[in-house]
Amino acid sequence: MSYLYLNSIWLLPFFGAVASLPLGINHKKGASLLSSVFLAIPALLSIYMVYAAFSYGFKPFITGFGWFSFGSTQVSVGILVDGLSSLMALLVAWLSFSIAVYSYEYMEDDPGTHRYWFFFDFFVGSMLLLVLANNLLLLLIGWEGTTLSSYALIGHWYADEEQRWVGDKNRYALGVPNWSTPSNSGVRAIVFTSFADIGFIIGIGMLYQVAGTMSIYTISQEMPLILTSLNREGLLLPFLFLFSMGAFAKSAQFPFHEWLVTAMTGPTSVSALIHAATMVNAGVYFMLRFMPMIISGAQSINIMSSVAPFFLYIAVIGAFTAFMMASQAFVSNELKLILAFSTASQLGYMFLAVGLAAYVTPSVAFFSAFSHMISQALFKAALFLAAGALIHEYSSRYIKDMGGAWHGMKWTTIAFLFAALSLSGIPPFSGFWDKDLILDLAFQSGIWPVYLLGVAGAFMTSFYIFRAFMLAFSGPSKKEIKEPGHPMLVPYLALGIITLLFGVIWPYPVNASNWMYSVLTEDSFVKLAMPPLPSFNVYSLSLSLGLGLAGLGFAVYAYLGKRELLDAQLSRGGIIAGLHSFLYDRWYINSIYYRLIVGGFVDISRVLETTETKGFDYFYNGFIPSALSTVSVKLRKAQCGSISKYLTALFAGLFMMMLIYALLLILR
Amino acid sequence: MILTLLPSSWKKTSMVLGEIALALAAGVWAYSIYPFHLQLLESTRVPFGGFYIDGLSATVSLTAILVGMLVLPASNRLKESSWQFDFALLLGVAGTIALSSSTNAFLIVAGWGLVAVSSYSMVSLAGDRGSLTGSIKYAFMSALSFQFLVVSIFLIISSTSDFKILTLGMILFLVALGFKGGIPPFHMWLPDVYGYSDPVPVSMLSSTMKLGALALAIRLLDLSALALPIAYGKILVILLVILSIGAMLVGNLGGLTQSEVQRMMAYSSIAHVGYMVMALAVFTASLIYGVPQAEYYALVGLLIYFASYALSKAGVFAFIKGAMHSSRLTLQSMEGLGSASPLLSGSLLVILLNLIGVPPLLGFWGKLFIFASAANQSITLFFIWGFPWFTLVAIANSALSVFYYIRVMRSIYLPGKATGNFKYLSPAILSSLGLIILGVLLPLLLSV
Repeated sequence: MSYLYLNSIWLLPFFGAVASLPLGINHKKGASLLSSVFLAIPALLSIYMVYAAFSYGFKPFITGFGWFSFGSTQVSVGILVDGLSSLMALLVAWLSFSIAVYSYEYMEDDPGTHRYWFFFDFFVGSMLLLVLANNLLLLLIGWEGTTLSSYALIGHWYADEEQRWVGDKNRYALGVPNWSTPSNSGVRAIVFTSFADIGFIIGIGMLYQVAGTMSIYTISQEMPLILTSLNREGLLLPFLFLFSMGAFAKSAQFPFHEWLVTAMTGPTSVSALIHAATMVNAGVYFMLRFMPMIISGAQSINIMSSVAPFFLYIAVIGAFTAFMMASQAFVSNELKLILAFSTASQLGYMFLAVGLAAYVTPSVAFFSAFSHMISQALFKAALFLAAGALIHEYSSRYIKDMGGAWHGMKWTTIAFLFAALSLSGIPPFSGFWDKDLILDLAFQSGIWPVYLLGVAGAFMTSFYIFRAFMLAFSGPSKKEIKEPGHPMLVPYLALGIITLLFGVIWPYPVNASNWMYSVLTEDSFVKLAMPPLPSFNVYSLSLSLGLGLAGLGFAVYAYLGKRELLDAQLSRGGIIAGLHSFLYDRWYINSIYYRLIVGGFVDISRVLETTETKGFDYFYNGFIPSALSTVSVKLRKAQCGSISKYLTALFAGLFMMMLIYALLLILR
Repeated sequence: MILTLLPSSWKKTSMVLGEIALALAAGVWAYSIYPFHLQLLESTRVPFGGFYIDGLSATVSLTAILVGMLVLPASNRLKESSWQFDFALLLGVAGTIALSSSTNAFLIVAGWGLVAVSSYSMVSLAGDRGSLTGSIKYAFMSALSFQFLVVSIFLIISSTSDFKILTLGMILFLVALGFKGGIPPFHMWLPDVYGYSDPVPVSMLSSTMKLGALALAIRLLDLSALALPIAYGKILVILLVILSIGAMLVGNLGGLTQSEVQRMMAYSSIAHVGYMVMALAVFTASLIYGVPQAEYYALVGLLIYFASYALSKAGVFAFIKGAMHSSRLTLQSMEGLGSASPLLSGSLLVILLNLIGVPPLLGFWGKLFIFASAANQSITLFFIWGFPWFTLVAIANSALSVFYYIRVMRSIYLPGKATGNFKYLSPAILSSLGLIILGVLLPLLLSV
């Protein structure tokens, strides 16, 4: 039976985008409904797709249609359905749908809803295409589609009103502004990700050159050959670095993390969808799709030692990002910024897990990354959506302006609390299981720095999220606030509850985790050894759990009632204040980028501009015309009107010709 | 063929009769080349007592006849005595036909004389002061050059085995050609005559009176290049190249800063002759080096160029006549003609584009062939370090000429209050349509 119609999963949102645009100008609510319907259908279909994959035993199958051919390659448009892609598509489709429902109410007063819905659906279509693509070209198209819509949605409020900014106005770090406007943030997002995409595209080119095909399935089958030829040319490591560069930027890993921070200028629903739950996960999906192939290929031809440095690099970057971003969330004053840092930090954990695949059992490592990805998507989306409700109610993005939300928004408090507990890694929530699995693997691998960074990050994670929780929800109420309406409330409440449920069923043998585990590794084309999931190492388990609780307790103690205490102490001066500024200004990285890279390019362009205007421009439009006109005027003066002079000229010409004749005769 | 002399005393009748005569001549020509279709070039010569009928003479003669037919009605715009003008015009056409078709010495001299006399009489018949002074200058210099011509023909004919005399004769001929065609440094009369005389005779002058001389040049160069040893032949080529570049530069640079349109067009004539002499140079060089490809292209290009140039110049000067009111026509006084006479201004636009060499018009093809022929790798004289410098110089000059043509085009379409009186002039101006049609059809014809 043909599963061709499953392609509509990624096609329908595009139709929805186009259809809702003309409608959205006049009938806002109608457009919202239409867009959401076009997201609901894929969500339902994705369930069916998982079933279809299940009926194939989760072996990959491709369904699609031919598109064009260049050279000897036939590029097709179609989807690759296996355990990984179907589960991811399920996640993406349902999250998108629930956030669409949330947006229905959240964006109802906004004047630009038609643009919003167009890019929202466009994004979902691109993301689904990315996840389901059966060849590299299609994946790239989806990839870039998400970049584009991310830019548009981040800069949605392009009029740059001050309340839409991120950062503190009038605060400078090393001469560079700390704040960012929506339009600026949009450009930053596109620049960071597109810059890294250069590497990605080069990588695709190299892969195509060596493999001769764009099809992911074929590449996976031929991976040993591909790796061999790359290794022979000495290009293996460069290839790996370039190919995955795009993924690093998309998932906001160091040094490409800056865009995610300022991307919070977009509407909160956008932040939830794109920058917490789906787009940034594209990088992780990329890793999960291709790294297993690389590991199994390398193992089969025994070049693991050549490939291992790359995985070490991934692990180190992941751990470092996790630590660095958590430290920045530590001191942040804006609710959404805390969550943004948190997202990048959790993504760091996922990358850490992927990197560890070269040092522990690969299948377990990949599984832990996948599981954490799902957990993070769930609780982070819940956190963002709840944050959106809070910001909307308090009309301010700073947590200092919030407080006592518990009194008016009981359900929101519960949802936020559940998600926060999951993020901190407290059982029985899902975040506990997979974060601990990752830390456990780090411990096993024996790479101490990475383990220590991860553990420190765990402590900071629970601290910062509960700091936010206490400041926003506890204490006396500052304003009259109430719960948002159902379309907004239900999605994040549901997500909060799901993260609890997910955590509850995680550890049981016949259940989610094992099933996912088998799904993932059965997936295919990668014959990875599949030992049963290890039981947890008691020491590391207690260490991380203890730290999580410690962070929680510390935060509660510091902020319950005595709200301003800690922050006031910090700004009093000395080393602590310096450290505080360092963290608050994002480790000065943003400033360094601006002064070095942006400033550098500005200087180059200034030099070029001078060359152009004073050099070329003057030459063509100034120098040449004036020179020729002078010659012309002088020439015309020869026409004096006197016949005798003309006749003289004639004879002069004659003699000149005679002269030349004679000369040439002599010379020849 | 030479039956074109049927003048009469009444104004309108003379025009009508003249047209009939020209039409008859055209008919006779068409009949005589019919059996050979359009495959002729100089290669197949049908001797007819020193009178050749081949591609060269057919093209030049038909062009001359056609342009004559176009300009003839314009004689009604002259102040007085139009029938003498018609007479002179027809004489000039006859002379051109003779020049282009013969290698008989007497016929050549007679033809050249006819052309010369008819030229300056046409100019003087216009009657106004500018024309009179122009015609005197022209007559003087024409007399001198005529002597050069006679001497050169004599030398060429009598040089049976002596190369030096043949070369000398060729050089003297080049002087005469230079005068007639307006090649620096023999061109000094041209800006004054073309620029200040009444445009009606100038339109005939500038278009056709050169063609005969140039056709003769082709025949003479053909003969001498084959007769001379390589060293001498190269000298000729070098001289031709110098003349050509000189003409291009003087023509284009001189016209660059002109604000009087008629004088500007005079300089442009000089430049165009430069391109034609370029074709002559390539033609000669290809004969010396033995490159039939280049020879073919140069010749074909030159013939196309003859036709396109003649039609264009006739149209341009006719337009100027129509647009000028008092004496001098400047760029400024032309503003607004675009809206006043849209059809004719559009035709001028096309004509100017043709002079620039814009595809798909005829002028483009002429330039293309001529420039391409000079870039032939086998003619090493035109190559320095692998660059066909001669072609590059020509292209640069062509680009330079765009400037002043565009200024004219621009000023026509600026808003203004100029108006024109184009009675009897429209045939010449509307010849632009012929240029378009010919230009589009040409590739089809050539591939046959």
